[in-house]
Amino acid sequence: MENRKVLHQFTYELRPVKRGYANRTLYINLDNGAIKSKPVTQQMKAIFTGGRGFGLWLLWNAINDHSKWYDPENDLVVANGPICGTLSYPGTGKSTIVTLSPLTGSVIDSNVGGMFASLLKGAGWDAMEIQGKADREVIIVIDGDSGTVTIEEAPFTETNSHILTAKLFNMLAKNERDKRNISTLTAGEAAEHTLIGMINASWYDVRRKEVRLKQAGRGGTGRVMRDKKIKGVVVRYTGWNANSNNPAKPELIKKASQRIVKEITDLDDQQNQMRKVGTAHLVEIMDDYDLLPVHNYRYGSHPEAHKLDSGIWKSLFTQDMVDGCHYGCALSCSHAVDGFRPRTGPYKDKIVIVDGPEYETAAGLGANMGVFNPLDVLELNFYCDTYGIDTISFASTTAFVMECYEEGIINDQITGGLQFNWGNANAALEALHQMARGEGFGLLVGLGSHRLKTLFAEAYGGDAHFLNDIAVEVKGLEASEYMTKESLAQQGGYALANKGPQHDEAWLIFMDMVNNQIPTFEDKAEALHYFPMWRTWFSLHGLCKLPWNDIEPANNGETDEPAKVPEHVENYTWLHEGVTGIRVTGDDLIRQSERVYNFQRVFNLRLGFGTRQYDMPPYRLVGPVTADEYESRAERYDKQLQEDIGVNPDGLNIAERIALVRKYREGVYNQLVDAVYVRRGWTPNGVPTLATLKRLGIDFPDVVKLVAPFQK
Amino acid sequence: MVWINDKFEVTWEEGMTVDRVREKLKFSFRMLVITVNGRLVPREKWKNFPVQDGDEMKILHMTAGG
Ligand code: SF4
Repeated sequence: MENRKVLHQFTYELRPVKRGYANRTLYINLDNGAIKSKPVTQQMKAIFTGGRGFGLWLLWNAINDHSKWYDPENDLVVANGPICGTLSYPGTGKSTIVTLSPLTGSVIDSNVGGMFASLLKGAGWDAMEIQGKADREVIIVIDGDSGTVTIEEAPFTETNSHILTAKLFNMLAKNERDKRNISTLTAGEAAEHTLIGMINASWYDVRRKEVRLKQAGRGGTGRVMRDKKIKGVVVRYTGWNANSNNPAKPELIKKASQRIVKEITDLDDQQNQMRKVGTAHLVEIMDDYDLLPVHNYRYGSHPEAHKLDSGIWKSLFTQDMVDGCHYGCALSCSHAVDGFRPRTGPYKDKIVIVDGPEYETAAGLGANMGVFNPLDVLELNFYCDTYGIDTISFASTTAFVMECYEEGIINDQITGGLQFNWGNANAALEALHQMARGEGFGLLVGLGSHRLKTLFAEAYGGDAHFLNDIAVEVKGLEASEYMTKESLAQQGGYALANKGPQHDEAWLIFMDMVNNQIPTFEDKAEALHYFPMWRTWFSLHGLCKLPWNDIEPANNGETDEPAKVPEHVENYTWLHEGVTGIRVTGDDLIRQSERVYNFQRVFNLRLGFGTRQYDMPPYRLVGPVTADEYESRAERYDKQLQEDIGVNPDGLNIAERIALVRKYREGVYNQLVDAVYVRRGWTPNGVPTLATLKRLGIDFPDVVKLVAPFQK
Repeated sequence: MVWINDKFEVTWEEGMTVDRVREKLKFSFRMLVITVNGRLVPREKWKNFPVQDGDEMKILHMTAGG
């Protein structure tokens, strides 16, 4: 403990995990240094399952109806889930972070890989919640070997993740090998000054002998962490292994694991090549299908997109490495570029590892901002990560700023001389460095698109209507990196999502726009019920969803519902029964999610949101805002005028055509919303009905009181 | 004309194959299930499997993606 100044200490009894649950959560209050253990009740498990469910329940009880993200009572919750840590099955190491979001003002959930979730469970906790704010910079150390939790004065001045993480590992590890037993949460300097701050979770890469990072990007979790003056959270637990969950029926887990691992070994090379390129393989595919966001989601493809294609990333990523972010993950898609030398900023010319880019990062920092030099994308990726900035929000906000600059809404005087022309990576990099230093125009970019659009209208005289159309955010969260103009279902997938437009809730573009499998409103509504529930389920159990649908059995296409990947759903029912001992069907899994999903919807309502008006997408996600956009797909839009609207486009000017298409598209979007609300058991205003809440067993007195006035 | 997914159409050409239809539509995604007039065409046959004028195809992209 030399050089470590312990401010508060708590000791606890060590006990094994039982059937996937540690059966207690850790509570830490930074206002007064209180640390305690809270029991996980049977009711908590039955209703909220774990992971995101536990996070929402703990937060619900921690705050009041008027709480803001910066209030001390805001909780920062990190949870795992019962199946989490099943090392023989790929993708079982996700932490879900739940807190009040600086961006949306409502509740946010954001998930992240790495070893934190599993080791937290090993240390004896199903979740950790942190309330209050420290009076100085601190770290929190959870030692699951000795049964102690300490709040300590931050031992290092560094905040940026790639340096701080390595130092924390060196401080805690007894030797190199021991680093496997440690994981951390850190943010970065820019997370302190912006609303788009994120949290990095780590794992020790035994092959590289380096610490690596994954990101809980969405919603500004990193800002909450730094606002509480937490520099880092460290967890250690020695010896987590495939049996540490003490599963009820190990043979079922073995059966599921053998089946999926064989599938990955046999088929990954001919399918998505996750083990070679990871999700970045999608860049050229999205470009081919006109789905790659280009220039702030104006267009869906670009002639230079090939400069960011999978071949480029394959050549940059170090190959022949098993690059799993969680020990034992056979899909091992977390690739890295080794030996990268940034050309700007405080780490200029230093040799660093760049974790990623994932598809979202490559598409956002690349095509959406008009940057087609992969080395620029890598540099932006590296600085976002180490400074604690969400690449998606940064990319989408910067793309919006670029469009405003190109349109003359803002100028050099406003940007402090930064020239935000499409593709100017130098301006974007400088904005990032400014965020880290807490100065300049970068600070404005760090407010996110939602606040910027108001600021540009009110302070700089921009056209509020136009700004509203082109700021690609819903509920205050920037959209992730897919074009949705030609997929009505995905417009709903984004805009109806509980936390804001993030694809982890629904991705229906191929089913809708290409396969034509969900042609009617009812079909789309069914998909917008099933898939968000199914995808929510992963976050209840601490699971990564990539092994669900980025690899598929050879005969999947011959099944009745290939989009659901039925064999994998069966695997998950086996895993559930294998770990917890509770036998379930696929429908039971959906019901687990429905409880949590509807509770989250009610949570939004409690915080002043959660009704229909917050489910409306900006028009850029729905159709062509500008004449350029219309003309780039004139054939498609003219055809819609003729066939769906019954108007002959000849003789109409572009503005008239845009107006008619808009009226039509906004109309059908609203029809879709009606159908989805009915399917989900919600009122026409988007509030769960009392009958729905009762059916799901979440009709708690305070919930009923809250929704009752919204039942008409 | 060749019809795909009741949504897209491709002008038929002499010697057309499944792979040529994919190429014309820029369907580069790898996880596909393809049928021609209801008959499943295995992946290894896409290169040479003939497509006739008036054929109805399904090219299903096997992912719920993202
Ligand atoms: S599939 Fe990829 S992201 Fe998911 S756990 Fe495995 S390595 Fe991590």
